[in-house]
Amino acid sequence: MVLDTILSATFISALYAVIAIGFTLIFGVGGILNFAHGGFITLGAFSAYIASGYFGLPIFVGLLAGTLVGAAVGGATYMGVIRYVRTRPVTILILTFVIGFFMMYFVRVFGREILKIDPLNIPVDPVIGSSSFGNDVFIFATSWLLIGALFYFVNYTRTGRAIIAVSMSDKGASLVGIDSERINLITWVLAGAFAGYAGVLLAGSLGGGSWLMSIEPPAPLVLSFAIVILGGLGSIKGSVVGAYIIGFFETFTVTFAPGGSQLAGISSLVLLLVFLLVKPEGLFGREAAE
Amino acid sequence: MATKTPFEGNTKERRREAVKEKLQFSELTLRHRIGVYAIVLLGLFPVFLTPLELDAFRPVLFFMMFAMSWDVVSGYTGQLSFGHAFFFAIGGYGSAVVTTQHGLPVIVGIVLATVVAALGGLLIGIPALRLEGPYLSLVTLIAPLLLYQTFILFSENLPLFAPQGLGGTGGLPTQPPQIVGFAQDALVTVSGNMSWALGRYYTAFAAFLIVLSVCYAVTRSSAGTVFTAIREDENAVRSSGLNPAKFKIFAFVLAGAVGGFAGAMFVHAGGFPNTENLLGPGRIDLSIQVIIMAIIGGMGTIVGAVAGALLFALTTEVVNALTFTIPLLGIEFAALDPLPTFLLAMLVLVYLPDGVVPEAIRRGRRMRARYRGEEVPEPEPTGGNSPVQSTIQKYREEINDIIGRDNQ
Repeated sequence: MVLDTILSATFISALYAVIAIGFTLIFGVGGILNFAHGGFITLGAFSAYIASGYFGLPIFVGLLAGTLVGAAVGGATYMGVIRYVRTRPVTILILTFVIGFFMMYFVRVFGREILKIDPLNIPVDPVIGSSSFGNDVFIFATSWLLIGALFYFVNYTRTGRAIIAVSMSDKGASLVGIDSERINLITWVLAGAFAGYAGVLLAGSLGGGSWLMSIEPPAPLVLSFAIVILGGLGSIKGSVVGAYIIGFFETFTVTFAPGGSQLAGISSLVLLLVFLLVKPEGLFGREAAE
Repeated sequence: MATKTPFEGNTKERRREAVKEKLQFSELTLRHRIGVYAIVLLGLFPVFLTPLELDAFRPVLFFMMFAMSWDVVSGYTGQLSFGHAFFFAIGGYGSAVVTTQHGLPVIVGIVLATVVAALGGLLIGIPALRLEGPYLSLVTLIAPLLLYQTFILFSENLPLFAPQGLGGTGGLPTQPPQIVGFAQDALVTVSGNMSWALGRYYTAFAAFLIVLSVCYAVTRSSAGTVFTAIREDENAVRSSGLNPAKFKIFAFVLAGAVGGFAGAMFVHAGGFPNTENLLGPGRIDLSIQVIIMAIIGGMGTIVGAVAGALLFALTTEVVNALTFTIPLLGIEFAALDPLPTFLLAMLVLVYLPDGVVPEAIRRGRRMRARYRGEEVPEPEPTGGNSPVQSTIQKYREEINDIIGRDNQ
């Protein structure tokens, strides 16, 4: 029983880590809280449905489609809107909310009016359909693979180190000849890709997506915000740790607390509230830069 | 009288004089006079709208109240709240539960709900003292989500408080007694559709006037000045011997009370107490819409919140009226709702960051000066920042503080 719980907690945490990583990236580099993140996730899942459910292609194509659409939408959001308002954080904050809700309502309108499906139940298959354990292992493995790759990219490649430089100081970076516009775009594309990918996996393991999937339990939008705050805003390593803490805490309360199944979606938020009041700077603080 | 210190002479007398002076209609500036005309016009709506149209317009009055309650705390003190619907839901659900499940009269329900929502404001306000920028945003964002889960968790029965439960996702099972309605339990029983629609409209309008005057009076008083000062520079407030914590809490409690009152009036004037009405179909989107309205109209002005809500509603109305079919897609334009409204909101946020009302005032002044042949006034005669600018400045500093960037 305990072993089972640990195992399922590990799997769910791996998914949470992928969900949160894009949010961390954008905050770490641009200092922007990107609330359109939920929209990226939803669009990723929706594209997977269009590719595999609507056109009948294999779900791997759907996974690819979700990732690519996520990346494209992330890039477009930056190029089309965020770029022009970069110096106005409050406007950005509210704009990202508006953009995120725009995407969610887009899925709702498009799904209901054109594809004639129930926007609350968008069927997306799990990537490994034969066994749910296999699917979990797939999520776990690719989660670590992607996070490892990202870690390598940020710390050991020229572009990655330019990202770190921009995250420390725009001015300093431009003094040494880094085009921060390009770096920001790369970050948004990466974040969008992660979000789209996570959206497909999440919809698959929940048995379907929905236009509200980013705020319905487990509420990936709030979850990623929570994870990122728990780990310390802007820290990749912190976000991974934060994802595991939240994943484990939630799975354990749901399994072992009396009436626990009722607590799904609440327990981690309560943990977060307590954490915010006690240690608001997060576990790792400003660390992505080092 | 301008040079006297606040404690010189007969303060009570002077205070009364000052209020009287401000209430002289003939002395009002042009923009204030326009405002008064607009309110009178709102009050005369039933003269030229059909009962059906009146009913459709009633929610807009509530949006205005919601937006004003947001503006009091976020527009003035710069403490951004992302979950303001928390207060509306507490007010609406609170009053509905008190009247239907405990059998208390409507008035008691409204008063209790306002008090509970004010306590909710305290609940959010206290963390706001410790938390800055994004952290506070997160707390305020989580609040309505937790409330939503609470409704589900106690859908059947919440011991002591709501013996028949909170109804879960579908909302409360029964419509609470109305202030004006057909049923016997209504405060004012009427017959006939016209008087019913009129009654509901004027109930909402009365609530609107109350909220407007409370918000307007507080923000134009010395407390409002301190709110603005907190937004500009908390240390400056502290060094003038005022406690910013006290005023921040006050702002949150006031916003909670006003929002809760509006929510309570909503369920007693025709609105149904469910999560879709009081938190939005997407659970947090009502909160976001309220912010959009207040910002479109102009943050930190109260009047802007009203204008913004009106604009938002008008856009939605226009979109819904456009029933032509879009080529290629083959669906009606109206089916796209709320996408065009959101798009418009994005454009305003990017191109008119100060909001419509301050922009209109600025343009109006310039036009009038030109018309009278006077010198065209400078756009910012005081050299101060606009509310949006200083909120932005504050937020940027906090974020840079958190992630340790050294930009500026």
